Amino acid sequence: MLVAGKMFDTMIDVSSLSLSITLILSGLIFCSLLPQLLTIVRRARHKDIIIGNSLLKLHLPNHYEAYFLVESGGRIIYSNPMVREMFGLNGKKANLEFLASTIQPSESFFALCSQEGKARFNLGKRLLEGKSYLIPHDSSEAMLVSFRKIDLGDYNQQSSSRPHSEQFTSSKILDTPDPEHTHLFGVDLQNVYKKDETLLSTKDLENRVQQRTHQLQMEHQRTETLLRIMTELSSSLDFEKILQRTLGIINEVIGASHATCMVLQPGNTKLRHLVTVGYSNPTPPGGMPSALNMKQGLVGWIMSNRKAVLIDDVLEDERWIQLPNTWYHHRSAIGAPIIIGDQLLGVLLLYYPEVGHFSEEQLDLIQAAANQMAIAIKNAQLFHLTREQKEELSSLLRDQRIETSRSRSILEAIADGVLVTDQRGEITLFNHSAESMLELKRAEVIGKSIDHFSGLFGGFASAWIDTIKTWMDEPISFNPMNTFSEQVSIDNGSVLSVHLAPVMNNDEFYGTVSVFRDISHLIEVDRLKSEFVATVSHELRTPMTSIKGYVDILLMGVAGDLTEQQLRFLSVVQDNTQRLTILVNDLLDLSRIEAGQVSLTLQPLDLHDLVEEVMDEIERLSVTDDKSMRFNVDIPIDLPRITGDPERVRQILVNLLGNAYNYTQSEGQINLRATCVGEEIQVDIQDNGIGIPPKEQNHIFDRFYRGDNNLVIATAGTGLGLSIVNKLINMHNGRIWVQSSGIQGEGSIFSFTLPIYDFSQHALTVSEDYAENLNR
Amino acid sequence: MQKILIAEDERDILDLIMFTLQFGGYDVIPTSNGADALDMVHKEQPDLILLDVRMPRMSGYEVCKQIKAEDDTRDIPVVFLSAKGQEAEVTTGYEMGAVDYILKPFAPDQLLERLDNILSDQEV
Repeated sequence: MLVAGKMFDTMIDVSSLSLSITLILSGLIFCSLLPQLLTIVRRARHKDIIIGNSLLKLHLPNHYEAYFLVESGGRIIYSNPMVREMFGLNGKKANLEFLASTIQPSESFFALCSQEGKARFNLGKRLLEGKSYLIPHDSSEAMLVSFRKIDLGDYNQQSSSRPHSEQFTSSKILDTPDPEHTHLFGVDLQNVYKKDETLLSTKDLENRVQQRTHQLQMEHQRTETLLRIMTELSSSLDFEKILQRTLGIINEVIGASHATCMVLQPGNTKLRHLVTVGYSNPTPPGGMPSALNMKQGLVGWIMSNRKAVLIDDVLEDERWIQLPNTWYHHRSAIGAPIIIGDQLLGVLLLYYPEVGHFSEEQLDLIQAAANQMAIAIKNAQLFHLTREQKEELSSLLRDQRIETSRSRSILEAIADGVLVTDQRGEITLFNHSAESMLELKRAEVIGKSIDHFSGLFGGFASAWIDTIKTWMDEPISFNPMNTFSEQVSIDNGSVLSVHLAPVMNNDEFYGTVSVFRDISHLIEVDRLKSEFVATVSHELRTPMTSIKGYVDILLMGVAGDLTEQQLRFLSVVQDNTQRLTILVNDLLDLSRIEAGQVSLTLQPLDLHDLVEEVMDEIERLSVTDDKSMRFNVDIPIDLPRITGDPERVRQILVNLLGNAYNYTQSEGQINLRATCVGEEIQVDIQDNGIGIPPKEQNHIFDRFYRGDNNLVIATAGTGLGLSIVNKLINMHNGRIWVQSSGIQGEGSIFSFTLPIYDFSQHALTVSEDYAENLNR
Repeated sequence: MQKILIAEDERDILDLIMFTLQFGGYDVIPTSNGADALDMVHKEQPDLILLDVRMPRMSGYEVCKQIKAEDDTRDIPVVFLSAKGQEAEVTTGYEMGAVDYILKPFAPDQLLERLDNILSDQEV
């Protein structure tokens, strides 16, 4: 290609330039005085050569070279100085006849020459004599004859590689009398066309060169553009800025006035203008939605066909959709899909406001540019994805870290001791409070099995640790609501409550959490309260003892006779003293129950015995009071025993039967019925007394509630009885309720339940308790 | 006449008990604290001992415990008469060897009735 360029230059310099067919005559041999010029002419392949002074110099640069140009008719139109030197013309003008006469082949050469060699020699000679047909007849042609002096040594060396010259070389050496003066020449004969005839060809060549040059320029430009695009696309991470500049480059190189890069929105068929350059407003950061989706318009066609497209006039193209509200009007368009692998990312489109602006040749460039953009967009998408995922992960991690440290801080700060074990029973958390309560350093505990604790805490811990182990070994053995709680005294004298719960997550056992609370001070407060209650009880009862005792004595008449009035007044004192006594007893009882100080001694109880005792008391009372009542008890012979504390069940019966008795008028009836309902015994106590109006029924178990019935108010009572009964029944895991119409004479039914005693569960302890109870 | 030793630090109540028991036909030996009561038990060898629980110098429990610890007094029945009515207190009373535990405030006639019963059981 470069040579072509230079030839072009030369052609402009030289006036007599021609395009020639080259005949190469090679391996010609001369003696020193040229008598035995041997010329072998061999026709070579056609080859385009342009000749002229400069070219001749180029082509025959050796100063030994002699050449001349022969016109048709044998006239030498040009010879160089070497010709005159070589042929001894001494400044005379060379003519062909003379030159031909000086060239004489040797006889011995002829003798050795092949027929072909002779023919060629003669041809060469004739040629020089102007008789050869090779001498151009047409005035437009000329013959270039050149002699090349070749060093003999070189020639001999080269001869082996030029087999067609061999014979002539050897003959020349034989014929040369004086090898010292032997010269070897090559002669080249070339037909050349003169200038005017070759102008047409020149034009042709020129066109071809121009075409080629254009191609080269295009190729160069394309390479350069792509290089610029590639460089731009990989220059920074600010993706949109890069794309903007890249689009600018494409726009400029293609000569478009408007370019846009549209991409598919992730997850749907909508398109958005990612970057736009040219005559519309600049795209805002992050792009802006396009009015078109991936199936519509020219864009849609490109995306569906995945092909680059060139349109001379969009207004004439049926694929084009003219959007309303655009002040600019595209006419020419060129575009390509942005594809990577199989994935369609978007479309690159360039416009020009005039018709037919783009060319087919630019399609390749557009597609190449779109491909580069696809890589960049894909990279950017991956980069964004990676960065988003990274940010998401790190924020998740950060949140979790914060959450974990917060939870840990809370656990550390909590006043309760916290101990957490994992599935294998190893201690994973032991907070500050636990350290101080259990007097153990965290380092001694963390990572150790819970087993280590049995030794450290002795007996107290065994139930607690056994529970942990049971849960650990058989996570299915408990239900998630299971908890374990216990009060334990430890060596330093303090009392701890331990609450143990399994840590569950969707039925999976994660371990256990134990919470310790130092309840020493609660125990102390409790003790003080008990003491207070005991003291008050004692202090109230002492004065009441005197009042009641002396009034009773007076009423007994042992201190002397009393008037009717004195008797009546003293009776009032006695009644109220009795009332006060009951009140004090009930109050103390209730406060002890509420303080959890009343513990039940649960044992199997036979309701027959208890009911009989209490009924006897009430009957005696009715005799004393001279208040005639009918009593009816209905308890099946085979009624199972109930679980209860004998004193407390008795207290319940006394209270309820007492109420029934008190709030039923003389000649009334009290029925007691016991039945077995499921795993409970239900006891119904029915009277036909005053009843309880429905609106009061919700309050009857409240403390001090007595309703507003005159009979109730007139009866000695504190309003604490039912409250105590309710609490006692709850302590027994039973229930109590009332049914009453509230109508005088229809009475009410108080019902309560107590659990049936399960002998299979308590076989051993029961018998002991029961025996003890019987002994007492 | 059968002798009943009383230990009660409240003067009014002591008088009330004395009156009641004397009315019931008993010979009464009144003391107002635990230590005196213990002394008098040895001296007088009463037929029954009625003890308050909370008393100065020596609690009724302690007095009872010592009475039951010595051969010459072991068989004398002891009855507590106390305002302390909690289960634990009553239980402790029985554990010390008492035959009855009567709560204050008491009805004088019922006190007499119970003591009569104890003493008549004793005779049998």
